[in-house]
Amino acid sequence: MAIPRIIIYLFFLFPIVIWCSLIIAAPYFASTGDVLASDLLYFAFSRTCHQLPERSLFLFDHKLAVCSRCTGIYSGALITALIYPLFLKIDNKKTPGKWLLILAIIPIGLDGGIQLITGYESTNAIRFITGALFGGVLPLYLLPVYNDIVCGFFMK
Amino acid sequence: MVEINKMFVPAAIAGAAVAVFTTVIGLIPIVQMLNLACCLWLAGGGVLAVYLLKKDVSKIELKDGAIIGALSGVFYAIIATIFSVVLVLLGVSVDLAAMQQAFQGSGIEATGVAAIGFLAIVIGFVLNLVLGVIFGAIGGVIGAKLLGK
Repeated sequence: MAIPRIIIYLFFLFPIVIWCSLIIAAPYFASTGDVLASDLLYFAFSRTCHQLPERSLFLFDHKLAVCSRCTGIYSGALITALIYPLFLKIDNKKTPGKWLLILAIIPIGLDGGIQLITGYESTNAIRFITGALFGGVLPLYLLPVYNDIVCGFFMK
Repeated sequence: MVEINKMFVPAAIAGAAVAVFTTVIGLIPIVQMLNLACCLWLAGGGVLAVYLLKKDVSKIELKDGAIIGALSGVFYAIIATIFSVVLVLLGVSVDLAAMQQAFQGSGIEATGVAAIGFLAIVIGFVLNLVLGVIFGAIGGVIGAKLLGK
């Protein structure tokens, strides 16, 4: 059974959109007084993020469900996934070389690493930007692998 | 492509390592600062699994990395949930405290610590499984790309 390529692409994009929406939904629910929904969302995202208020961006007077660096990573991934069809074929199975990935890791690694082992304190803007650089590169590697696996499975 | 049965042992080791590590850094105040590395540990499981697999096979494709990374996430979810059950029984579970807080804050009448503890374990397992598989697969792809030739 052949599935249209756009559907396969949307199945890649949709979870990222949902994920980013839930990050914003947590402070929204908190602002509307829906404590259970917001607490459960904060609880869910606490698995992948420290959620420190001083390292988080705020919306609706409440912190986002993840820190500024994670917000950057997911925002970057979402933007790249959205504009991917403008520059590359959505059924592309070829990934860039490893150096682009290494270049994307260096800023986030340096900013986070130096902060972890020294007294240096980064800013939320730098955390967001370094996260976005890394997150923005990820779909360039993940979508081709996803295409390879999914197309191999459904289009034999 | 690497045979799936060659992936089980490296994935299990990596999943167990991440489960032990994340449980420990959640409990010991001195190392809690390592939590600042966010989802790195889950993705790190995928990278570790690829590294271990690479010792046994000559060539790893990116999709092999994704599969073994996702597999390490499954092992992570199972082992971390076992630890979670123990912590709930000992009454020192962070998940249990978070769930109690969520129910108390919402005004919903809690049906007892045992029920909330069970709910914390079930929700925790589902979250660990979904997040472990997603971030493990991402880590596996990154690992395969970086460690591959």
